[in-house]
Amino acid sequence: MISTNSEFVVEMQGITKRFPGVLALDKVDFQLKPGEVHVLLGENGAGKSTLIKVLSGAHLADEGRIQIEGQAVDISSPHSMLEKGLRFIYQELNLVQEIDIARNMFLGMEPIKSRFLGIIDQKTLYKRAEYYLEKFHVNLNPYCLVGDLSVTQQKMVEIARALVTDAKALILDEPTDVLEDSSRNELFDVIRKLKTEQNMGFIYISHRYQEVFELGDRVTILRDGQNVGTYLLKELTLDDMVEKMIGGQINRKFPNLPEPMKAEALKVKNLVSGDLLSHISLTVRKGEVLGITGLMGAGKTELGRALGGIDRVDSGEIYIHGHSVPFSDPATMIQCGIAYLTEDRKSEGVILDQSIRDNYGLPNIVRLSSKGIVQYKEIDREIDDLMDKLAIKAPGRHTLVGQLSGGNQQKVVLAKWLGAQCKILIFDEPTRGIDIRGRLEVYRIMKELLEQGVAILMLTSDYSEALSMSHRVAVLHHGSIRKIFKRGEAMEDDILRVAIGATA
Amino acid sequence: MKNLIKNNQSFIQQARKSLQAVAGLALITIIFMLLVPSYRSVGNFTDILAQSSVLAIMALGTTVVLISGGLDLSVGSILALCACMAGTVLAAGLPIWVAISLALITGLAVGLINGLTVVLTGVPPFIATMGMMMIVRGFAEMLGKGRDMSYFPEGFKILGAGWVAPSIIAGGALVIIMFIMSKTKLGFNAYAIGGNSEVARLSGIPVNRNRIIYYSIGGILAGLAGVLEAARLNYVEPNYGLGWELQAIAGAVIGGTSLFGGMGGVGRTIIGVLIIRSLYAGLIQIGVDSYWQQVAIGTVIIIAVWIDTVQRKRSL
Repeated sequence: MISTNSEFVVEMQGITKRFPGVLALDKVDFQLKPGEVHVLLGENGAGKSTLIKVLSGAHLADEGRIQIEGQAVDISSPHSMLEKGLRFIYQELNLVQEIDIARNMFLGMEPIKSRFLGIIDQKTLYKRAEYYLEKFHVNLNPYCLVGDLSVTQQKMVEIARALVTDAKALILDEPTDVLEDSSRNELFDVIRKLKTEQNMGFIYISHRYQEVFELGDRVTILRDGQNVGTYLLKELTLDDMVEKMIGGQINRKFPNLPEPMKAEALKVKNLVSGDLLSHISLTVRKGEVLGITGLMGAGKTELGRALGGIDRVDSGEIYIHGHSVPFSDPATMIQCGIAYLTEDRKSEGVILDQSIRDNYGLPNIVRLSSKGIVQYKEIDREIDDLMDKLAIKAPGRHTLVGQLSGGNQQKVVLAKWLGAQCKILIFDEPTRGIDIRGRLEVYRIMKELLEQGVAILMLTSDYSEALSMSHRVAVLHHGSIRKIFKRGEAMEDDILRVAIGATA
Repeated sequence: MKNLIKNNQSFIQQARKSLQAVAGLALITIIFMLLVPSYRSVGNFTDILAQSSVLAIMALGTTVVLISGGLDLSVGSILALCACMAGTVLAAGLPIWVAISLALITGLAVGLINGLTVVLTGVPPFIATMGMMMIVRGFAEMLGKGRDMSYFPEGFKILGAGWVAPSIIAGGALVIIMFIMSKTKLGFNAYAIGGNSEVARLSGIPVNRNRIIYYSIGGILAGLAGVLEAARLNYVEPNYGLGWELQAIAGAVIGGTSLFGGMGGVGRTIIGVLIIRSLYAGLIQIGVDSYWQQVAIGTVIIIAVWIDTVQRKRSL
């Protein structure tokens, strides 16, 4: 090997990538130094993923050069990226749940006793796994089944696995989106140690701007496929950053909320469901947002699913507009006007390979059929109208939902329920995986709904979202409501303290 | 103009798929017409129509079940049981309408049991309907064993006579099922449930009830196919329809229906069935022996699905 004294681990120059009708990357330059965490920021569609895919070899660039440690890499032969020491960790977990940590770490490169018979050298395998786990500060037993680990721990195993072979740089794509706050710090600690001890470079993609400041050294901001600039994070404020990302078009982050109405839309009394929910009581007025927050596993989703009639409950009463309703199946709850907008949009909210129109039809088909015959003309009219109102960006109602951005998919989900005349909406993580422009759109629509007297129960693990978008915020801890804050009464740290059970 | 095209993306995709299936059928027909003189006769085409009609009726049901995300391996056996049922009733000298009604009710009942088993036990459709395939075949043999079921009354035979009556019956079934799938709530829900049953359930669609109905449709259509087969051949044997469930699936799949649900169309299944039957007819007339016929049909199925897979990847 010829050792080079290049300043950069990764250097990308003039990367251009065209898709039919779109210039995804326009002469983008990017450099990663050893021993730094380099954050890659931009809205959805700004070109972050495309840039990373060019680096990983998943996409071939149309123009441009890539150098790894000063050596030019043939961008038309993507396999060399892995050989050169780049490791990629994607948003979704990529581990085999049924086997243990050590086997996962050495999957496909197990130490072999006999090459002919393919017998794995178990002893060496576990010894080496133990060695690497320790080296990378992952405090786990290599014999543990991956399926038994928490999401954070699994993420750590993925990192350890990536580093078993000689890695020079690690590329992390939204690694914390699936993690809860307290365990994020563990992950950050590991990254910081690796950065200083191994002099490794990190490319870090995230939607969460706070953590960007916590962890990053430099940031490169992409907008519409162009590099807006690379900055030292300590010289940048959050406002600067947001402005550079969106090009200074949006002034205020969150809308003012209209006053709620007097009438009670939803009232829940003493809802109990096993160990998951204990004696939940709450009310939401028309035109009001009740935010529900808490740590992961505190019971937010369970509460939403119970009210949506999806999961069975042990006991409790529910009143809709003052009338008692039995806890029942989703169909009944929808008829009562309650809709649960799932956090898992892609597998529970929309059918990805069907059209916007057909997705809209799902809860509305009963209303829009007469004697079993579907009034397709009526459906078309309604969805066209809603696409217009919600500003769903798509070529037309026949576009497949899977081809839309996260924000627009969420709007399709909303359209479904608005069509079904649901007056009580339970949003579970309404803006997860949605870029900042999409978020603001979702907030704007929520605000409009409030003015029409819709009641919203917003389940969110994003405290700043809970604070800015709710009239009141209830904090869950181990399945019960610990405290309800009025708007303006609490800061994020107040919520966090209640959420972790430090104060009541 | 460009917008108009984009707006109808999925429609155009569907149309293209239908066109491809028809083009495939045309290609096969032209090749055989060039190769074999006997293939050019009108009689040949009417024969193909007559032979296709029974399988086509069954394949319509299979397509409905596939679109809704299910699978039904028992339809070949249902065909046999219903044929035996009709044959037994006729042999006993009872009126034709009784024979037909009992056969259809039997088909409906088995389909209903299929649906209930899948929905209530949670046993995967493959296993549930495979079990039912054996059970129903057993009953068909019990019913038909040692019993002479042939020489049916004229009024019954006419249903399967020539090519006109079977084609009309199959065409009628096609129109009804097509209407259900494209115009009714039941049809809309089939695509939704096959596309993602959890999303459908959370949207308030009665998933289980609908599933039972789709299996029942599959059952009653297999029953109708059994009646038609009995009328056409003018005798009944309990080994009718052996392996036909797979041919029905093949027809649906060649027509572009997804094995994983949510996508497909009943019209194209008819084309798929015609392709299979045309291949058989052509290969027989060329003088290819039956082993090689199997090889050819198997190859065509794989190639058809391969083309579909490649296109689907490209469109993503």
